[in-house]
Amino acid sequence: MTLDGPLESSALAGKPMEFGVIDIHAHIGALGIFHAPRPDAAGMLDVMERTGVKLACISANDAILADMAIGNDLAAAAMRKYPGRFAPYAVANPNHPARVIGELKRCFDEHGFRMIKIHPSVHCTRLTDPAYDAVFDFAARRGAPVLTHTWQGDEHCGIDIAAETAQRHAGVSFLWGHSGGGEVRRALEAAAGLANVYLELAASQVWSGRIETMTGNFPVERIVWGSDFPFISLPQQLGQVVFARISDEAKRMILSDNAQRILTAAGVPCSD
Amino acid sequence: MGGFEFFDFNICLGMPRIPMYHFEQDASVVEAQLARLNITGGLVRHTLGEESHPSQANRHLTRALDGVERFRPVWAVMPHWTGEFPAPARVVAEMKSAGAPAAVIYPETHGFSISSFATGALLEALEEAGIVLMAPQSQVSLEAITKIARAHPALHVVLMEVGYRKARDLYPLFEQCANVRIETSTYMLHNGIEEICHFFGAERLLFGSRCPLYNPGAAVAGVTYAGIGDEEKRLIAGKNAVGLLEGVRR
Repeated sequence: MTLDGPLESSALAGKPMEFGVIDIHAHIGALGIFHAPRPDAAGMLDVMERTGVKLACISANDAILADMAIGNDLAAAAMRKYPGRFAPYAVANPNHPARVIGELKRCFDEHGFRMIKIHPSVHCTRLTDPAYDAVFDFAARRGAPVLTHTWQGDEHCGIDIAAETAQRHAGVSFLWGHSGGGEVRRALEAAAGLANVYLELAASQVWSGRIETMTGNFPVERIVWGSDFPFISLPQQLGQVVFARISDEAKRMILSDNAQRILTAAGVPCSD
Repeated sequence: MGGFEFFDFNICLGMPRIPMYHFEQDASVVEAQLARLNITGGLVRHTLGEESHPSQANRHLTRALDGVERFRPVWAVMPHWTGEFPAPARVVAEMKSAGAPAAVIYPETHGFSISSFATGALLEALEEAGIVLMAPQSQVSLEAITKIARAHPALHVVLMEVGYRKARDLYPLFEQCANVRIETSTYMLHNGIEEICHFFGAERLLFGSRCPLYNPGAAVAGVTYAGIGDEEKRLIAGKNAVGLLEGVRR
C-alpha cells in the first residue's frame, strides 16, 4: 500500500492533523428537526481534539432557526468558555429589520464577534432583497466576512443570485457555504471573476472528484474548508479533503492557511 | 500506516444515470484505489441493479468482477411471480454458485411490495440460506425494515445509505430488531457512530463507502477519528463484516 503524504497517514491512523485546522463553517447547539448527539461546545471540542481542528467558526442553530439573539448569546458563551477554540458568527435575520442591525452591533461591540452568518433559504429572503442591504453595509464598514448558505436551484440563494450579490457588494468578503451544493460547476464559473468570493466545501454528499474538480478549476487560495458540524460528521468532512488526489500543500491551504488569512483580516485571533 | 483494515460493504460499480464528476469505473482500478486506504475487500453492487433490471445487473456484475479477487458480488433480487426473475430456490443456488453472499432489493424502484404476500418466499429462502439482505434506506422505510426483520428473525438485514437525520427512527429499530445493522457510508451524523456504539454496540455497524461514486476517504476518516476504542474501530472497519459473511452457508 502507498500513501501520498503525511496527512493521509495521520488520518488513516486516526491521529490529529499536525497543523492547526480551521473549520470555517460550523454550528452549535441542539436541533428540533433531527437528533445530533452532543451538539454542545464540549461535545464539539472532543471531536476537534481528535482531528486537530484548532478553531471552529460557529453560528448557533437557535440563531438561524429560531431567535437570533438567544442563539447568538449561546455562541458567545462557547467562545468565552473555551477561548481561542470557537469564533462566532453573528446571525442576521433580515425578517426583523428593526432589530437586525442593533443585534449585529450588540454581537460585535459587546461580545467581540467579527463575522456574520446569513441563511437566505431558512429566512425565506432572497440575497438580493433590500432587506439584506443594511447587513452588507454593516459588514463592509466592519470588515466582517459574510458566510451565506448557497444551494442549487434555491430561489433565495442559488449561485446566480449569490454572484449578483457579491458583485453588488464588492467591499464584502463572501463565503459561499456548500459552494452551491449540486451547483459546484456553476459556482466555479460564477466566482472566477469575483475576487471577494470564497468557496466553502461542507457537503453531506461526498462525491468522488469534487475536490479535485474544484482545485483544478479555481484558485486554491479561495477555497476554504468547513464541516457543518455538529450536524454532520466533522471527521468525514475532513477525510474528503485529506484523501483527495491533490497536493499536501493544497490540502493545507484549504484546511488552514486560507481561512487564517480571512480571519486575521477580520480581526479574529487565530494564529498557532 | 494505521492498524485499521477495512472491508467495504458498499461498493457500487457501473455508470450512474446522472454522474456529478468523473470517477473510475473499472473494478481493478477501484480495487487498487481502495487498497491505498487499507480497504482490502468489499461487497460490490452494480448501478444497473437499481436503474435497470436485476437480471441485467447480475450479468454485468459477474463480468465486471471477473479476475478481481478482493471483491464479492451482491446480487440484485426481486420476487419471481411474474416469471421475469428466477424462483427463490434457484436464485439462492445461482448466488452460491457465483459466490454472492448478499442480496440487495430495490422495491421502490422496481415496484414490488416487501409484504409477505409478495416477497415472503424470497426472504424465507435468503434467511434459510444465510444470505445477507441489503436494502438502501431510500428504497425501504425503517418501518418496513422492522417488519421484515421481525418476520425473519434469522435473516441478517443490512440497511444501506442511511441519512444522518434518521437517528430518531433508527434507534427504536435497533432496539427492537437485533438482526439489523447499517453500513456507514452516508450515516454522517455528528457523533453518530459513537452514540450507536454506546447504546447498541459496535457490532451493529459495518464500514461502507459508496465508492467509487463517493470519496472513500470520507468514510474511512469517519471511523478512524471516531471517539470510540480501537477494538470498536476494528469491528466496524472489517471484523464485523468478516464475521457476518463467514456465517453465510456455502
